[in-house]
Amino acid sequence: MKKVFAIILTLAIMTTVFASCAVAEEKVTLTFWNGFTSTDGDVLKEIVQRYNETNDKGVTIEMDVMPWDTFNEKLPAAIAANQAPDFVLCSTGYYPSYVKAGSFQDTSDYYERPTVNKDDFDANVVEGLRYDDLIVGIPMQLVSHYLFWDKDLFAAAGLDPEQPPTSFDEIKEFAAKLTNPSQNQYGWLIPVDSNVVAQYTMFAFGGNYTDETGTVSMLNSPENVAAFEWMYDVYANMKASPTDSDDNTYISGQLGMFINGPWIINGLRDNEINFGVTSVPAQPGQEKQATIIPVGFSIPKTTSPEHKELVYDFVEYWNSAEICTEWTQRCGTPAYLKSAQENFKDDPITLALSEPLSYGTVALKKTGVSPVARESLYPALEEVFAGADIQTTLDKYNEVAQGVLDSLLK
Amino acid sequence: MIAAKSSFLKKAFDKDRVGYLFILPSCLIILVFSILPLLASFIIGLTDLDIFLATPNFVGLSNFQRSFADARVWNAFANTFSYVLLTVPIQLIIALVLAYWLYRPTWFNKMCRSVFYAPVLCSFTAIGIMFNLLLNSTVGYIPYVISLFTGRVDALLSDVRYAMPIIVFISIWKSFGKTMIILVAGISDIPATLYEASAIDGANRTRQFFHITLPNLLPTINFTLLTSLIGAFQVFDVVYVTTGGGPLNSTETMVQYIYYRGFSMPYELGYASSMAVELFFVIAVLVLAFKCILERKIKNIY
Repeated sequence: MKKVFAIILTLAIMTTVFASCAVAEEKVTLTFWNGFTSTDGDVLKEIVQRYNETNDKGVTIEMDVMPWDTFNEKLPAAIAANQAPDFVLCSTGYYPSYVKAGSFQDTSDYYERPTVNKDDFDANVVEGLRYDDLIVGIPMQLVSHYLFWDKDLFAAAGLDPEQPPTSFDEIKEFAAKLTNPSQNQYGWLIPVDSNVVAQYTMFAFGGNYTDETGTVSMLNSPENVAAFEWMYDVYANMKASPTDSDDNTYISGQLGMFINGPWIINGLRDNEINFGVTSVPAQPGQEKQATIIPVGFSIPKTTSPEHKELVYDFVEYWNSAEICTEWTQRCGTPAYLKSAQENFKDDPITLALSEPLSYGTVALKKTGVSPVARESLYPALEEVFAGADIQTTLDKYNEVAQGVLDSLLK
Repeated sequence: MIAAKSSFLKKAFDKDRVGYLFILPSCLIILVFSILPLLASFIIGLTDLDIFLATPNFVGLSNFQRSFADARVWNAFANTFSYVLLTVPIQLIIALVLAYWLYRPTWFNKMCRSVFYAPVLCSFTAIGIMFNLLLNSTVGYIPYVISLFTGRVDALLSDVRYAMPIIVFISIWKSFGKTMIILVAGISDIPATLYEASAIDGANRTRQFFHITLPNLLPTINFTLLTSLIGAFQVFDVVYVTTGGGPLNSTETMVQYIYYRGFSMPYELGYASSMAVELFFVIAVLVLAFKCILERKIKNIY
């Protein structure tokens, strides 16, 4: 009797399990990985949630957010093991190794969809996601870097709060006035573990990491030597930059001017800092330069054609004027859709953020900035700031940088 | 059939063999998560595998050759050694002194032991972030307090002179509690009669410590020394969270460098594995040598 009861019970459980499977099959779940762990991730989650509730195809997007480092450790292995998500967000700096390994599908067919208007996208952004014949992703966000200044500190130092510096000479001049070591207040910030400020200083003097092909290191060029001399002067002679910094330094209210991305804006607002933002200037006689960092929707090679189409549906939803406007408003990144840019005609901050889009380029597109910067730029900065001879140091690290470039381009 | 089965079961549950069944789960775990990865890293170290796991080429010993010529490997080994030489003895001495002082189970001693043990329970990552904030020259409290005396704000973790000592300090602060608790247990096991007899003979506490506690504690010290030695060689989290190996690679330890090579672009897992194998041999040789010396010493005493 007991046995019969057990069999009936087992059958009953199994029927329920299979029945629920059958119901679940009607709905499609798309998996989605990205590294938006900050406050912008909450906005992204909200928009995905809204799509899940409103789309008419029964698609549920399951989003998995992890720090970018973790993302870059997990994704290649997941693709190799055929366990990859249906789509991901990838940032420009990370693309080269994925492109080299052939991890992502071509997405040029997205723009062939009848409902997609390619002309609405900023051409520079679409181009930023192209590697030779491969369109590796569809724009999701675009960021660049800007010069921020603290209007209250400007006023206190006797500077015009509405007049940001227009050259690196002026930055130096203003930084001297804004620095007050006894108050732990600084005019400028040059971190030695980030490429951004050093890179924009090199740009301002007409320098760059490499030549135009992106394959020959130019770290020891006369322009870059001039840039390093400028940085040494500000950092070591004027002591106008704090020697260590983290994200809190920017929003501590102790920094007169700095270069950073738009993601810092929410923190500045939360800390009630009266700031202005503008594009990073160049030296007199040099053209303004900037890097742009497009983030793209990319589809691993393991995703099926059916799921790829469903991903495109979501990407289309994302790339509507409505969502692009919302993302720009809430996250402070410049709008890259022309239809969305229309909505920001009277918004000086967003206009300033959009300015570098027209002339910005992707830095070291073929290799990514971070391996080159970590092996050559950071140690060069640290050694120069510690007092090493600039030309000798840059000669040494130019060779290192060339070695890194060669091994990555191999 | 049934007879054969029952005799098999009988054999398996035989008093002499049943013990193996109990350790079977642990053995499986060690096999899957320690021995197989160890063998795998030996093999991967001979290839140019990267994180995309696509068609690795066999490159022989060239990864090892490359590591011998890599200045950062030597630098990382030197940093690891100085870290080990500082943390292991200092931590042990502090733990030993405190254990001897606090081993009696009074209310006050128990409270002190709990307080000293608390950092052991915290995650190293959280502790690292906390110290990062405390030591930051713009927002940190410690540089501010120092500046009240010196009149200038020093960047502590980004100064080549202070970075390593600070990391050593954080590690000791975090882990001496664990050693202390083990030593307290060891001291409690020493028969009280020994102390009583020595007290009658007129020995004071210092004398008792050197002539009774220390010799009787040697097996326990042996154990804590070896485990903390191995742990110290593998130091990673505290460095990763606080300095990331900087400034100027002055705090870059071996595991930090292995991680850096393996898990940042261009993700050279083969090269990283070859260095992991080298580290394995260094630790193995040193620990075995240490074990031999200590065990001989213990044998001489008993």
